Amino acid sequence: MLDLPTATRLVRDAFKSRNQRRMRKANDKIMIGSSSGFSRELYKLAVLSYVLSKILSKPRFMGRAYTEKHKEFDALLLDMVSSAEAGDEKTFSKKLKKLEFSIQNVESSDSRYIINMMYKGKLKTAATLYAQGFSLSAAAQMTGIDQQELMDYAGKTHMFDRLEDRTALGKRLKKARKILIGDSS
Amino acid sequence: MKKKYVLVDASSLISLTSSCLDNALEFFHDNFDVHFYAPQSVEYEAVTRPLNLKVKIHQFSALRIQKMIDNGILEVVPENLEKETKKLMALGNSIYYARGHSLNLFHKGEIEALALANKLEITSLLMDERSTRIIVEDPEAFRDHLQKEFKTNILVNKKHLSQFLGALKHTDVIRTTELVYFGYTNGFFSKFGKLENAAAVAALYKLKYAGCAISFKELEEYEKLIQ
Repeated sequence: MLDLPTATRLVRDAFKSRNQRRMRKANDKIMIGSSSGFSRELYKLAVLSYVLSKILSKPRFMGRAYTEKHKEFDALLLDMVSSAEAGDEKTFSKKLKKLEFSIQNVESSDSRYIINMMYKGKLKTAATLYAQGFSLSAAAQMTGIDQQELMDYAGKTHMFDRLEDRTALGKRLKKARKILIGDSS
Repeated sequence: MKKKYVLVDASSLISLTSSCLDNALEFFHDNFDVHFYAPQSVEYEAVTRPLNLKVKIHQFSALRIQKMIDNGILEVVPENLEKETKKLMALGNSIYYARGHSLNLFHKGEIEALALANKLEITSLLMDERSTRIIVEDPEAFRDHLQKEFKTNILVNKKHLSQFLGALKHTDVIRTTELVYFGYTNGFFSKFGKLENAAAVAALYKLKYAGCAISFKELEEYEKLIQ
């Protein structure tokens, strides 16, 4: 199972190399790791890696004007690796929070959408958990996302085509007719 | 006409109100004597919580559900189910194992609806949420899905699975798409006149986009049945 220091190193290395694909791969690995042995820190790291991959994919956030910000991210990620390796969860959470705040500041200087990137990261993570097999309320509760928000998002994806439904529609309708109309013909 | 009882969870209420199709419940209540019940947690999730949020995005849906409760279309059952919910949740969350860890897939929301159905001996559940429905209908298919998603072998605790399903006593789960389809076959869309069929198809797609767990393949099958 993916542990917190390894997961944090994956994120740090991907950001250090400014490689969006690497960050996406890190996100995939952390998502699976966080859901198969759920830990709140890994889940937060999953959201963070998603948001950082978005930052790396947007040229407007990768220009010279943001060099200092990137250095700040690098330093905070390095601190997170050290605290994760030392098993210091308190410092890890503190640095993670600082990094999230720093990301929100970057975005507020060039805000184009009503939903901020951190929120979108949480929503995307909740949708991934739901797609993987977590129940709607479990995915909502883990991420702090509203159930209705999650349903809206999930409904507009191909998520429900991922699970092969082996119950034939005819059988479903027969059952529903009996429940609602009262005749089973 | 024989009375029929259906337990409703938050997901189905959300997709019905988001699609402005909540009057389908009233249609079945008035025309087919179907009585809809919900546990208190559903009222909290679908009404109380959105009404108390600063963001007003889901308040209209919440108010529509509140109106259904006030009008007696939907009855909230004031039953304390903490013990039963806990027991059922512990079982549900120890059925599937990945890499030696149990997958805590379920939360109070859906499980409380199942516990209430069990207590009231209601065997019909209206639920648009996917995971709980599939585990009730086809636990093997759900295991295959988890294996694909987690890219690992998923072990099943058969004893817990059989206890979990046994507690549900053959509960049948239907979705809002089935509800709306039978509404269509019984005149729910007749006010659309010559557009009746098109309205029914559009309504089914709307439910999908509002989060009802239905695949595009099934929607195409519905389209064929309607045209």
